[in-house]
Amino acid sequence: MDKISYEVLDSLNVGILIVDESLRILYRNRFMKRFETQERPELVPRNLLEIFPRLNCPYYEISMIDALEKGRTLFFSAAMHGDLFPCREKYNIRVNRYAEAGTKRLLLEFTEVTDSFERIRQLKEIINQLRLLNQELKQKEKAIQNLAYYDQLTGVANRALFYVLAEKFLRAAERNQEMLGLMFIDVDNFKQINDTYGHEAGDRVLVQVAEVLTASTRRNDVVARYGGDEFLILLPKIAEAGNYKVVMSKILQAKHDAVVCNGFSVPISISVGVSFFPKDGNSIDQLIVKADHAMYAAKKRQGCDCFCPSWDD
Amino acid sequence: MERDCFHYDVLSELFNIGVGKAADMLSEIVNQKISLRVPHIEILESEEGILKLDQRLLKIFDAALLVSTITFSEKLTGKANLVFPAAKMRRFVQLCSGEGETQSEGVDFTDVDFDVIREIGNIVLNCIMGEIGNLLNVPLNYELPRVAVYDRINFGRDIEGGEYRSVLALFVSFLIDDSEIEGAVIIDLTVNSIHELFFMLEGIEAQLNG
Repeated sequence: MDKISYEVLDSLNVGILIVDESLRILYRNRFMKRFETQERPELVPRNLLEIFPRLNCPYYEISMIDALEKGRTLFFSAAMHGDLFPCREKYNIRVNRYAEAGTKRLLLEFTEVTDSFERIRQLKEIINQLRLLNQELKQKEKAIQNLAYYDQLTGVANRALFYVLAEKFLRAAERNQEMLGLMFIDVDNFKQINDTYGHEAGDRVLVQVAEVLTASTRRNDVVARYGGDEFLILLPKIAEAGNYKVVMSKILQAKHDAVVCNGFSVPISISVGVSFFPKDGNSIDQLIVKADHAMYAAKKRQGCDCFCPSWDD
Repeated sequence: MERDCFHYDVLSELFNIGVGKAADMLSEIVNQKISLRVPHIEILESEEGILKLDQRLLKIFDAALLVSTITFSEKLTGKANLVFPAAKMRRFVQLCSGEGETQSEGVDFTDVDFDVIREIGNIVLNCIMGEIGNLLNVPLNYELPRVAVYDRINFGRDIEGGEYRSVLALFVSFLIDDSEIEGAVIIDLTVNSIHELFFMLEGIEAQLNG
């Protein structure tokens, strides 16, 4: 090679190494000096394995033989062969064969890719942070939705969610010509409970009532706290009006359990009124009014826990 | 028919050897047992054959594909493509590069991933094409693979629209860590090249039969 070729090769930002069939080094450019030991700089490596001792294993031996004898182009990626280099930097290696005066030579090119690894590492870190932030936001969104649509004391639907679902169920009942039931539940003498046993006891009564109502209803029924000591239950797809009594009997079985609070046993009594679409009204408000009246009728009738004006009169 | 069977048997044997060598090399690099199975080979000549290939590919691949391609010329002219579903290759790339499993399951490969895929493609395709070259004593010169992400439709068009009219299709599976990744090696050849290949195989058959 002439002097200009050497200067050109030395100025490249790529490592160039030329070896013969015994892997003896015939030429290396300036870039390759970074791999030489600093302890004895006067010692110029004579063999490829002196610079890269980890090449001395069967896989690389076979690959080099393949390249020399069959002219295969080899490629060792930095990600898969990082342990070849005793340094933090990363390099891809490409190996090609060529012939010089009838003898075979291997040309090894070393390309530094450390920047790519670092950039990818940073990007992955950012993506991870964004993922965590996204998870956090989704959790907060769920919490906000809970606050907006669920009663904080009892965990059942609040009035806002009740109306959203009620309209949806009513439209479906109209479309499919089905019945929709609505129960109005009131805790008897709730003010007296609060006055006698305190608000903590009152809260526990409400929680217990909500649990009883939820356990007594079907999976697709909706239990909602309407306000204060009043609950509503939506009963979509009621096959027959009398089927509400199944739910009723479950509620009544549980309703007489007392709540224990601060050593006191607080008895629970509830009254229930029921109305049905389409028989008792065409709107949710009409159904609520009818069920409310029925509930008051039940309260007035001694020994009667539940009243349905459409069917019980 | 007998002649066709002979072609099929010899090529099957060659590809099995090549694929086996590739599996051994990959196992040694990643220090984990990797198996490469070649369950099925098809030799497709003509437009009808290529259409059949497209339908077959549709059954295996329905999303983005990762394709490593080498182009060879001289005695035989054509392209060899190593094709795998991009999403499944992500896990394999992570294993080969020693990365931990990440939550990302998309087809967003980095430059580093592409280098790994290039190396895997180089090893597998070198081993397969190398066996053909060795048996037939034919030098096949090619560069490092080009790597690209295709959707299945564009890859199908690439095969159909090319100048090559004959296809050798190997349906392969990587088996690693108890999970299987189905893929294919599609070797597109010109009409002359497939005839040249069969001619050389017939020469071998003649030698064997004395």
